[in-house]
Amino acid sequence: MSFLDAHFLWLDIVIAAAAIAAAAGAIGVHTTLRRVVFMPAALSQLAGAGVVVAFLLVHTLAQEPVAVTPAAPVDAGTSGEPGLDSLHSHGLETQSGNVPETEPLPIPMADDPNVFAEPSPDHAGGAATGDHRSTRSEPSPDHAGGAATGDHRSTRSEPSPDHAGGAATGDHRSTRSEPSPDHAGGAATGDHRSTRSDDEHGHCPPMLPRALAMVFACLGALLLGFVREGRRVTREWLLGTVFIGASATVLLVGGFIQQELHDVNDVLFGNAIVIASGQMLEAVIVSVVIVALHLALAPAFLIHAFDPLTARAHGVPIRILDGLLFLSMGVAIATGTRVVGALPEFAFAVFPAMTALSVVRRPRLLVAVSAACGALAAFLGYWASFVLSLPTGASMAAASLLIFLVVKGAVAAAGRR
Amino acid sequence: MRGDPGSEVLVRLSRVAIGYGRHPFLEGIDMEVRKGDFLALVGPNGAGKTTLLHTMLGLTAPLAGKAWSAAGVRVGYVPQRGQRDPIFPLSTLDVVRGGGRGGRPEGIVSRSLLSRPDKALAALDLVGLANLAEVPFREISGGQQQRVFMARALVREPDILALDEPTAGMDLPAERDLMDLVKRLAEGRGMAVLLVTHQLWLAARHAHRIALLNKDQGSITIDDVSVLMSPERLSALFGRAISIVVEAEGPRVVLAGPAREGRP
Repeated sequence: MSFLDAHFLWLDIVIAAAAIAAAAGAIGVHTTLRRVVFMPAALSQLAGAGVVVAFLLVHTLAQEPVAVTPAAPVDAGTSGEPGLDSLHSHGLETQSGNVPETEPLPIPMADDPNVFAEPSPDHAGGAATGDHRSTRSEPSPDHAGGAATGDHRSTRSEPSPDHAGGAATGDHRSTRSEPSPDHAGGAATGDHRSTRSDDEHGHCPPMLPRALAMVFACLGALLLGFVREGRRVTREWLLGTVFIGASATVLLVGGFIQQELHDVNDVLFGNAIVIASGQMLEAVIVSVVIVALHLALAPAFLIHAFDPLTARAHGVPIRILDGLLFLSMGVAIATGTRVVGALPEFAFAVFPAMTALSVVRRPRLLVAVSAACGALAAFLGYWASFVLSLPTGASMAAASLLIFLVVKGAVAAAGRR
Repeated sequence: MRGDPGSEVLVRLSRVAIGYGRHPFLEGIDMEVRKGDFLALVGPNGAGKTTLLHTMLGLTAPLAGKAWSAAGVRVGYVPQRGQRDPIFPLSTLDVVRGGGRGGRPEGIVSRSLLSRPDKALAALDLVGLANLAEVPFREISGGQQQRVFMARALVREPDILALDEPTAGMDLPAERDLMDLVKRLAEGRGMAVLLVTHQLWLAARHAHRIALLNKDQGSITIDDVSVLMSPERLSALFGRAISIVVEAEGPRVVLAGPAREGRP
């Protein structure tokens, strides 16, 4: 099947990725000019911290009543070992089959014809596979590792015997997958030691992690943007602190919510392969608003950022301008990271702006060219990923770098003539 | 025209203390700036001139006392010469447009935050740089950049023109041209001028009043040029013997002797 013939597979995600890349390109002009190019990376991690905190909150709240309710049935095989109950409640029971007995929750994309739901061989590591309720039900081989390293090859793979480890695959509400005998066995022999419902396991309302990711990213953007640099505290220092602190939070909290880790990765990092149509619409709306805002205010953003002291003396509402700028950064990064992943989002916030700065000077043209370069990189990256069976997120990042190098080379060559 | 006692008060400081952090180094400052005034802030390096200027403009809050400015007063500010980040791809005209609107609204959103191109070009013409309007700002010399900042301040048609060492880095003809322009505009438009300078001759030739600051001595003295621009006052301020030579073009301030005891 050619790339074009398979448009029904990629159209939504390419539209979403291009929109997200355009928004990142628009904000990238400012992160580059203000010399805070690592801000998107720090904000991505903050968004991740927001997601894991959301899952931890729900997980913790759901734990309390279960821990004290004697009515919660416990399998005889484990009843004598209180320690195991604790482990199960942290998600380890998926190794032995965690098929919920209550009514399964619907998968948002269950009817989406664009969705491949076949798990890949390596996906057994995703602890929550058994009752995978993600909007994206197509894990990639390295998806559990996080950042948007989806591989098209995985989208077409048939479930392998290895996947038997994901014991709850019988509950995997795939629209296309044919459960293998191993899966069936896994489901049939599922060891129902825990009878807690999905909700008792702390199933997270889908909006909560996204909302907290957005809040964390926006607050972080405002903090990093408005920090008053002094002799002891520099913005670089703070960027490093936020990045490390948020990364450590994700890893530390992740240890307490292993069962939800796959959902965390899904919500946070995307896989740039499949997407819910609602998410595509959200990405497009966010992108249109952010690009329009930056096109409208680009001259004011740039010219006053050039000399903020004078702008203040002249009565320019510099704090309002900066507030709009940094909030838009937070929204763009939180949304973009979820759609395409941290690596390509970071790349879209750096290389398109550098490309635009190589060829144009006018503030609005800078934003427009940067946004266009981001969208082009998203499309080219996806195309290369599809045709060459490369990891999608990395392909998009590489495409944005390649565009920059080609343009920079052309400008240098033109200058020599 | 000079700021006479009957003209409109634009800025007033009452019992103001200024300093770094929470530590005041000059206290009890009482002063007014009136329409048409030309006040020079003079003192050694680190005397607190720029801090005082920023307090008058509302950029820095006083540590004590009250800083007041008239409602709707427009300030045109020329900052100290410093290294501007060359990564910004702005043209000279863009920088001048950053001066913002003058007395009349010019549009919505970003337009109201920026001057119209034709007005920015006219301001550039005032400082003799209209031919560089489309040249990237980062590619012009430091002295030319200061003149561009002057154009950016003037495009606002300010009530107060605040100049923080505006002629630093300029050659002599450019320096003289610029100060003549400032004086002409101040007299023609009736705007007040606040001038921070190390160059005593600039203060002596152009200002009406002088504020002599020295934070090491904890002192600030504000009076007419004719009163303060004396060898005794200046020698006491700088700790060096200073003479004033009167020439046809105006007074010239010169060092007249070795350092005083305890001073380098």
